Amino acid sequence: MRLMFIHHVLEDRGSAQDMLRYARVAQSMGHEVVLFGSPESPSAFQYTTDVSSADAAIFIFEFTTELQYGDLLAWTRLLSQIPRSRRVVIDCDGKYNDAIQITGDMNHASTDLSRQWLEICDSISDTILQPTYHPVRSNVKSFFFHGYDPSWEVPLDFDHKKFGMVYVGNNWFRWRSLCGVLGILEPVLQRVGRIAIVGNGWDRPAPWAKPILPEDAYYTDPEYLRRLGVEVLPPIHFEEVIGWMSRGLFSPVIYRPLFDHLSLVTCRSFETPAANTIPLLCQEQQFVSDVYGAAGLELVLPRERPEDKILDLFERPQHYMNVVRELRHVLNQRYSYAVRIRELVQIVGD
Amino acid sequence: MRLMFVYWRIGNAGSAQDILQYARVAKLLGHEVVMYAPDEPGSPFKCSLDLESADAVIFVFEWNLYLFPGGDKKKGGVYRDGLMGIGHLNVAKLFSRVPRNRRVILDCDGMYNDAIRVGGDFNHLDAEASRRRIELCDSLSDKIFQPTYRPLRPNVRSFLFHAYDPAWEKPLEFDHKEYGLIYIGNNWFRWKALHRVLRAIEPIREQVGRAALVGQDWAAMPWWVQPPLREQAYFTDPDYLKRIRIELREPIPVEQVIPTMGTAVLNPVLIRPLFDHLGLVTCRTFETPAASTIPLFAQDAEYVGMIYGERATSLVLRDGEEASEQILDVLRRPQEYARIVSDIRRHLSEKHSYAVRLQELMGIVAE
Repeated sequence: MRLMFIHHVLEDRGSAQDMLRYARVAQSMGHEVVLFGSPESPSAFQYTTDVSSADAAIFIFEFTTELQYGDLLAWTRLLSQIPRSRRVVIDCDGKYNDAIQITGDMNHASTDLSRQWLEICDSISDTILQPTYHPVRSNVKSFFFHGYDPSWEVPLDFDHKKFGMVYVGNNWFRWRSLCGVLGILEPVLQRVGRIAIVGNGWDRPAPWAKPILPEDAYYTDPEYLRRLGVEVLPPIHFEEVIGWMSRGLFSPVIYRPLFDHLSLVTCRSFETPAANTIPLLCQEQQFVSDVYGAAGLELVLPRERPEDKILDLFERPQHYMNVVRELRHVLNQRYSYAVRIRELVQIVGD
Repeated sequence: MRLMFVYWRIGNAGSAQDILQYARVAKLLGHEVVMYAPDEPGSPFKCSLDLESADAVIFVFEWNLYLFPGGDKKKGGVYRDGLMGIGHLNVAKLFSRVPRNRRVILDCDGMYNDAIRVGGDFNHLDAEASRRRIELCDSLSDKIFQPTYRPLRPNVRSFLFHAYDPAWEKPLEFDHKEYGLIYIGNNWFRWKALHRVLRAIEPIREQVGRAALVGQDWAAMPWWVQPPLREQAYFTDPDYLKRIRIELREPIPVEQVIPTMGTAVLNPVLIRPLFDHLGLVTCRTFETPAASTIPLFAQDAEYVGMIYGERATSLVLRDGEEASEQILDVLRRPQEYARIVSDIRRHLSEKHSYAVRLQELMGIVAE
């Protein structure tokens, strides 16, 4: 089956890694994944505007429903040449919901924008999917778009780590979550050692920091980071993410408040366990149990005496190495791209 | 019945004028014609996004589907992204709510055809462009129409779309005409047709009196257009025009077209070679007979007879010396020829009025 992904890809964020993996794994399974568009500069992705050759259109929406590439007729061609029953919307950021405001975060700035988002998704397809086990709207089904690739796995070796903690990610509503982790580290900083944060918008305003956005979208406290001796590094290409995580003994898995609220998973949910690091899961136990299974519970940052957990990571790395191995096994079983593609092909074929 | 048109909301474009006429006549007949577009303050068009009550959506396709008319300067204002600048959300709604059998395509420029090259004119740059346009139309609807009596493709049917409004008619008076001959229209592949007329007036230049061309790209080929399109679509010979004393005037607003035609005894009706080949009509097909002038048809007699009625064939431009004699005779006896024009007007009012067209369109929709 030839699946045409329609997605606004930015190669240093979001689902760029997923795009590449879907394409590679699909090929090995006798399917094909192509991206709609014709970028002007060379790309790692296989792009095409040949809509007629697609068996299905997978609209993957994150921050926008606008097409990244396409002329004035692009929408017309997509919607007229691919039947509705062969179109699927994957709503990665929980925007296919009423307007939600939660802990400084939001999915839409207004109810009007929420209504528009719902309208466009409903116009495209009856099949709306979100990467959560608990969609809010009754017509939304669960589909974990982001996947796990065992080929990412870096051999686990926790000796000679340069950093105690490495976090890779941009600051998009994530200051509160990161600050929560750093606050826990404060009393045990000596034991943790060097801390690195890799991404946009931590030691200076992010490029997207504009007054029209809520302050929580880009808020940061560079002075606090300096005081803690946190090393901030510029953003990296998605292919370097796992390598960078692997430089730390542990790497926190944090989400923006909206994603926590909607129990959404992201690409990072699955990348961190593949790195040569201990993923420290900063979500609710129920979410962790749902997504990662029992192995994940051992890696949850507890509410009570969380600093003890941090110290334990340093005291018993061998124990956590075994936990990560088990976690990887679970992820491979549940969330591999091959599983995802089989599921997607079935959804489209239904 | 409620019909929604999808087209650029450009007040002065020919097809936009037609849509305004359809809206006017529809109201008189108890129907409604609107543009499918977000409401635009100050627009002459009634715009609506209410698809639920539409009996059909009519797509008016011309050559310019890929570019904002007038460039990107209107983007974000009148025009959003997507088909005809209606915005991608509205494109998505359109295709989700209006089933295929309630969509009609009017292919005004004969682009729903294989790539055709004729008399230096063409409908597509290459076969691939033709394939893309055909694929697009086929994906949208089974009801594809062209404004010609003789569509080339078997699945295309005839619907002339452009029409005649008797209210345009000016009294046929030929005293004190400022010009002997005037042509109103842009160059765009029309040099050959015009040159045929000019050759005919050369031997009788003194008797013709003042003659003028009103429109774009007659004084020079636009330097910013890349060859070979520049030479193909915009060829002109300003020295020749100067030598035979043809005045070149700036383009005029749409509402001045018929009055300006009326400043001359004669107005040639020219069609670009592609349109001639395909037998296509345009808005201009129906404007010239309403002016206070004698139309001189540069098309073949069969086409002229079918559109304007049999009497009109005597106004088909003849060949060689006969053409000069024919023009001279019109200039000498315009009132005689005015009777033919009156017959043409009667024929057009009966067969090609907007009311007739609208009824035809509603029949198509109702099928």
